[in-house]
Amino acid sequence: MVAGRFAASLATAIVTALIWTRIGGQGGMRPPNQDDHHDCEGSRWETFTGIALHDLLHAGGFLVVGASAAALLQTVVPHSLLGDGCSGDETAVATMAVLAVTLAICSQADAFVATGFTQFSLTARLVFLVVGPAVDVKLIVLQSATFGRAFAARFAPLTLVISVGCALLAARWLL
Amino acid sequence: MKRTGLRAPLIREDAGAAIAIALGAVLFRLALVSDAYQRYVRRSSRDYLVAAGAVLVALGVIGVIRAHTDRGRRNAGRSGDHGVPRAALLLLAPMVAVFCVAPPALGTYAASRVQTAVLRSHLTAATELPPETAGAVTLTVSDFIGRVDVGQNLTVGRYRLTGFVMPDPKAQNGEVNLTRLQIVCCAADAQTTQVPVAGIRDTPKEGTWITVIGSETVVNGYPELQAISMQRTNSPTDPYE
Repeated sequence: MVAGRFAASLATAIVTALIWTRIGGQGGMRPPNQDDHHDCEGSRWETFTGIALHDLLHAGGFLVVGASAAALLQTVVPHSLLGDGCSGDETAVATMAVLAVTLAICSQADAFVATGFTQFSLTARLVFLVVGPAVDVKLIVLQSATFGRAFAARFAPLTLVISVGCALLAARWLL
Repeated sequence: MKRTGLRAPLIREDAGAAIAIALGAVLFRLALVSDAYQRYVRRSSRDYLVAAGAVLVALGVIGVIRAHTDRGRRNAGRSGDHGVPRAALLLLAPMVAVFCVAPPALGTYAASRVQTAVLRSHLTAATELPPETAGAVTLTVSDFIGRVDVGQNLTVGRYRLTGFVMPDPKAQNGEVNLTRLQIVCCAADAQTTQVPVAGIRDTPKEGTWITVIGSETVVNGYPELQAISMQRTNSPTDPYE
């Protein structure tokens, strides 16, 4: 399982990057131009603290939005719903992928949460572990805020598909 | 390709810096001055919260100074626009929540909805029991179930468990579930551990924190606590296991 998660996550990162360099287009991932905010007159320390404060406030604000969305989904959707929805293997994988996106559990804890999904197959749980860090509600909000909604609208589904695919391949070969 | 940051609506730079200072102050209030942070994250996160608060306050103070001193204004004035994104205002929301709503720790609502924890196995059959205090061995609920799971012989002796009361759907003789919530890093990943308790006469209301002293029995292959005495307690400052 450990090898599977490692291999699948690494593959996801590489494949996504390769594909994005083709279809991302010019400036596909360039953040808003920071140079206009900070000139070269200030010392390096001044520039650093200025950028740090700016990024913190920008990302932090949108993190609140993403975290609120994840919290709402966690509170409103009972986990017991899942037990009923895992008839076939495809449904299980899809359920786990959706759950990984909506629950947005941090990577320190997602393995422990995944062990609790005892009614799901190992493949489905590997999908949960690979999709979670790659794309979730919080990340989507942050990506839209930083790179634009058009970026997030293309990037998030792309990472979702690639991460599910890599997880399934890793499950086939390693689990 | 739209570049959001360049045209993002801005607020004054010192307002953004003030938000950062306020956020740092909230972290200090939660982690340094009181123990309220334990309702939301693990107790071991305290140092990180305090450090993060210090960094926020420092960045905010530097930002305020920069916005108001001549040198800062001169440096900023050369560049195009100066200010921080309006998104910073969103950071006020959790601050308001902490002060006005003061969300309590997770309780019966969460415990009824989240899944049951699969216990982490740092216990073996040979792990020693902690020493007795006042006639019973104090264990956490997870520890109690974990030790039974790995085959420890808990049928000898009395055990003291603390948790909150939840109804037991499989109860035949008025048992209740003594429940605790386990978290790994923050309240978002909470899972429940429960042990059925039998032999309590006037069952307290759902959600009441109690300390039960009893002996272990196995009913239908699952460990239960046969209560000898029960006492209501205050909810602990660190409610998660």
